[in-house]
Amino acid sequence: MKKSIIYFLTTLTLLTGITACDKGFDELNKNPVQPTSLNPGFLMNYAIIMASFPSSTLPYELAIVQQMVTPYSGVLAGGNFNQDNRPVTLGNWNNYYREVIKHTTDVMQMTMEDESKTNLYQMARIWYSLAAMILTDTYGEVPYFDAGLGYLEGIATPQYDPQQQIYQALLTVLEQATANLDDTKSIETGDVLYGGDVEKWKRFGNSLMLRAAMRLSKVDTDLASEYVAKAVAGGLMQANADNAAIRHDFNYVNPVGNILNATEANNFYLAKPFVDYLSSNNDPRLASIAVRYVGATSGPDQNSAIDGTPPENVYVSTIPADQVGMPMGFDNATIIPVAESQGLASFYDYSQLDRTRMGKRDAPAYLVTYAETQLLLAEAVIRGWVQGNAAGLFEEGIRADMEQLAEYGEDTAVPPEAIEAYIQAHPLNTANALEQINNQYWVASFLNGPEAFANFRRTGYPILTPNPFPGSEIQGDFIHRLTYPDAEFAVNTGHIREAISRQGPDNLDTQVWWDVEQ
Amino acid sequence: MTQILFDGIEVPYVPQPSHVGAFYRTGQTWTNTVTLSSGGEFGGFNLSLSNMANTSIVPNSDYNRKTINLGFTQNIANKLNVSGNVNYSNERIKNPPQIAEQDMSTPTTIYSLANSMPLELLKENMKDANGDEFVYSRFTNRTNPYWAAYERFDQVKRDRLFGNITARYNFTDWLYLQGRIGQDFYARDQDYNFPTGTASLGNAPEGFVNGQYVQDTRRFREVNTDFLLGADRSFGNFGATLTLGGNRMYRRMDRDNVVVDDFVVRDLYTVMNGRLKDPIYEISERQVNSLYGMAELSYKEFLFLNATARNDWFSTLSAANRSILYPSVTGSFVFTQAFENFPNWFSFGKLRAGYAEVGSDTDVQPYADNLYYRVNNNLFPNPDGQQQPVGVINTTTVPNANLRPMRVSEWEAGLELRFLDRIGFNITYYHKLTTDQILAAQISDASSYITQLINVGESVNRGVELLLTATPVQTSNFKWDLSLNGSYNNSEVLKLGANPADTIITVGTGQFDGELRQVVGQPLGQLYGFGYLRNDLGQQVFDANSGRPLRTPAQIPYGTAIPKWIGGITNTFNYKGFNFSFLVDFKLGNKLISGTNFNAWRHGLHKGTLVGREQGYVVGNGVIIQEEVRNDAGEVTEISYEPNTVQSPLQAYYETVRSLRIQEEFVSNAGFWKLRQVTFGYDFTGLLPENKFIRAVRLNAVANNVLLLKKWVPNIDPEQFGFSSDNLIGLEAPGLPTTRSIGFNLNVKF
Repeated sequence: MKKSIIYFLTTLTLLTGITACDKGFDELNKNPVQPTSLNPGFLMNYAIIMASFPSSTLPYELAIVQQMVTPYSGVLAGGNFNQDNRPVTLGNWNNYYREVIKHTTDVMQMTMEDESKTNLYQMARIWYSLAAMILTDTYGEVPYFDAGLGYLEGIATPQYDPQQQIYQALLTVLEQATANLDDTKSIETGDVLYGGDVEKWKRFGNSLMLRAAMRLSKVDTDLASEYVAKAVAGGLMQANADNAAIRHDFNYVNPVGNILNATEANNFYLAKPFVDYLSSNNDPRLASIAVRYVGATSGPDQNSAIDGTPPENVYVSTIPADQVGMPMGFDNATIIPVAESQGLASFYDYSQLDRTRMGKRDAPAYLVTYAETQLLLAEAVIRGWVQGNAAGLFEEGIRADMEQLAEYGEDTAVPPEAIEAYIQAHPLNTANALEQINNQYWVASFLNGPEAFANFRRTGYPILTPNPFPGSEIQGDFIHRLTYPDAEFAVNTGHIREAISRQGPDNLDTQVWWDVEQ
Repeated sequence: MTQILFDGIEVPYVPQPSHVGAFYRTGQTWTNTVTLSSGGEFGGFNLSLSNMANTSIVPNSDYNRKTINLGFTQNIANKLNVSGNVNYSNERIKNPPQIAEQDMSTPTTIYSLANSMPLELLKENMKDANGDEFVYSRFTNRTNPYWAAYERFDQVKRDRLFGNITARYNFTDWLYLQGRIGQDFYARDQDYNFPTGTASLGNAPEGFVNGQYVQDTRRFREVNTDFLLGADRSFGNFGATLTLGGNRMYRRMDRDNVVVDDFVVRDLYTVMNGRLKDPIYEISERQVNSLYGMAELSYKEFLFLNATARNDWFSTLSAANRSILYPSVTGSFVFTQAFENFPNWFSFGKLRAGYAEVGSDTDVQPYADNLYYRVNNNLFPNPDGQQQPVGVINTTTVPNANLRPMRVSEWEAGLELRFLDRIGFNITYYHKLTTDQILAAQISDASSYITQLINVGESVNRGVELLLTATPVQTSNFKWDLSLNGSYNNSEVLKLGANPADTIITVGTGQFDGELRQVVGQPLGQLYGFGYLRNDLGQQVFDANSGRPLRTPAQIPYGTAIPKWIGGITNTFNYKGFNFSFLVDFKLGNKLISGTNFNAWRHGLHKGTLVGREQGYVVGNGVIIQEEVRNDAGEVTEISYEPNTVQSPLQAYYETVRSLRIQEEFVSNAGFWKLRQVTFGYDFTGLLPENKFIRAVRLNAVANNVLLLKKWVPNIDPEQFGFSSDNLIGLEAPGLPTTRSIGFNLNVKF
């Protein structure tokens, strides 16, 4: 008995010792196949690629500025019907916060204190500003100062900031970041945007600053002209080689090109106002942009035409004279008689953005271009904020945009003689210079939905006829902003309510701070 | 009237009454089991072989499982016994049904197909001239169900081996030491495709065809090692049992997964044939160490006291939080035993009460305490054409290094009574407090993350469980047994985050909208969604321009998704060799938001959307805003309304539920009463000649899910859920139709 008890106790002690409670647990709970830190340059590359425009810009921004339109409802309802489609209006919000703000914030955190990464730090600040500008232009008040800090500072429900404060901050950040880029410091050659070229990053940052400053043309001309001057002094983009473009490939596809070649291949068409503007001006760009599957009566007809096996009486045409834009204001039932009255086989017979050329899955996406910059500068000259030759800038803007089309591939290149002929035929005249410049800006920012939408609101150009769709939900003539994600009402209730009480109702009519009537 | 489909096929425009019946088929399950067993003085063994073959109701989908179980026990020496069991199973699933998604999910398409579409045409015209899926709908995510069933393949093979070996040494007749080691291991191989030519796919680059192929290999291992030292003695009227033990649970999963896109050779679905390759290798390891002890005291077979203490250490939690000690105490008193003077009809009576605590880390994934990065498999060129690495933060959930284990503490009291050995009654009341539940709460996307792992405050569950059994009739040939069980549970969220202002968290959003939230002061699992806007008089408000419904300014609550009442009644009748029984069960007191009805509504397939069909427009029954009066601050102080006369085009009107995510129309009482099971059987043993090779024969017929006696949700079975994730309770998405099954069970003993 006594022996048993001793045996019992010895065994117990031994077993307890072996179990050793939590030995090795710290090591066990470390993921052996994933790193806890990474070269911030790699994250910066991801942030750059993900800044490409989300596919939600097709049903909204591109339809609001009447460049592309779909007759379909459901998930595609948006600018085509002037309707609030909540699962779609959150496209920019989710893409830029979840991807671009997230990764640039992390890059800034990693590089802020690191002398050897000072250029990367400035690059991340500029890129963050690009995303923040798209966000505030789309929605108005958005979280800016507290955004992206869910992990780093545990801010799960960031507060919304008035757009005026955001713009002031953006201008300051862009001024500092461009000034602090330094080619004597470590160069980020792995950078997928410019290979770390400090001069190109400076020109891009200044061009973005010019864009931000011009955005204030209706609300704060002093601040606008001050920063236009600073941007010019800092040095703007000088050629198409300076363009900020995501050069997509088939491994990292263009979201807009992707959807135009996949689920929505047969559903989006070039809008009549856009096609008419290009064709009435004999614009050679129409031949690069458009395609028509002449005689098509269905999606499969279009698809087999692309595959080179069109049905009888169907053929592919990229000739400008053949192009017919889909009029605004119809749905998939009411468009049918309209197409018939225009002598088309069906609404599948309207012109599309050519999904095998500019609309292909690996098409580059242009965030800020030399052409846009030249046109903005031309406007700044007209407004008297900087010295310069407005006509020359206008001409150069058009030329740059037409030349840029060659970057999509040989089959979209505009012949030099066509460019010169167009420029000769369309000189800038002072009487309606602003309209001319901004109409060109509209064409130059085609497929950059957020920018085309913002500039249209800012300048009122091009002069478009309000979309006459009978089921429109808006009070005004055009959509002025997109609505917030519903999730914000669920999880960030207090802050979004504050924003709405300052800014106005969360609908498509409320105008953002810089968008005022004049 | 005729309609033209598939570019030129003219067919009558007539309703197709049963898409579900025409596409799905009758499933079958065959199970064969053979069991061999023998026993003797020093041990025994048991061997069982089984084969289960099932064909799904979805065409081209089936399932097979073969199992072998071997168990043995042997006395090796006087005081040493060794026992163990080994179980092997081999599973093969061909094309497990895809449900509750957009692409490739047959119920999603079947339930939302125009009811004039003849299914045989979909089958015959599945492919175009190039062998690609014919684009039959502008919404290409609604895959042709025949394409999904026959062009997509999905193969799952799983080999599983689990078992354990126990050695027990009896030092004396009251003291023993037992050691046990057990392992559960499986290897699972799966591969599936997204077929080349599927309408929703983008084009491949020049020289390739599109399509996707996924190869997934998993190895899972869980090893449990434990020991137990036990003593059991009596001292006069007192009995005492003392047990001490410890356990180590180690679990590891290895996963290799390769996704490839686009192929060189068409219809050859291999990784080598793919263009874009995205391999992933993942490891997940966790361990729980435990030490525990139990003491049980008894007095004269009628008073029992049981106390335990247990300490767990969880590898997934930080050093400061990973150790947790929790006790339990239960006592019971068999009063019919304690007192002599109970009448004879009072057969048995017991009172019991207990308190127990439990801790767990099951909702924490390994490595959830840290932020991890990932380098993408595919490089991206810089302007010089040099391929550059691309890296991402590998999570959308904010990690939490300070998580505490979840704890549950529960009080329970019960009374168990038996009368005349014919009537039994067992009632339990419980009060369960859950603290620090671990979940991923949704946060603002502007934080750059989607969810945040947190310990969630406190919630309480209170309820009663009742079991009533009776044998109302019993004669030598006939017996009627009745069993009734029921439970009532009421839950309430007491506290959420650390901040008292945290009164709501969102835990899930359904595939077709609707949210599941936890709300302080409310029962667990509240369903939320936007409702129709109404004015103070309760009149529905429509948009003055478009005539479409408007929605509430924020999501509104619809009630809990968790049933309050659950129960069933079984009646069993035995007459000579025949037996017959049926079970009626119910779940009541909960709500659901139906995604199937939501889809039917926005596609104009719901009966409710017939309003306005003849005219081609709807004039919503309600009002529009006539004028809004605002104060200087721009706030609306007064609204006047006028009757709605706006004619809204049909399609846009009914699609508002999607564009504005209005859920009100699809909220239903999720309760039901079902005739769950009917069995009928006969025991042929009495008819067998004696002393023959066959010792017993019994045949049973079983029907399951026989009838839906009562339900409230239209068009679907309230149990017909696409998936049953904890954070999507009550958010229905199109699942397979529920089925009634009829089975025969033949049991022969040799």
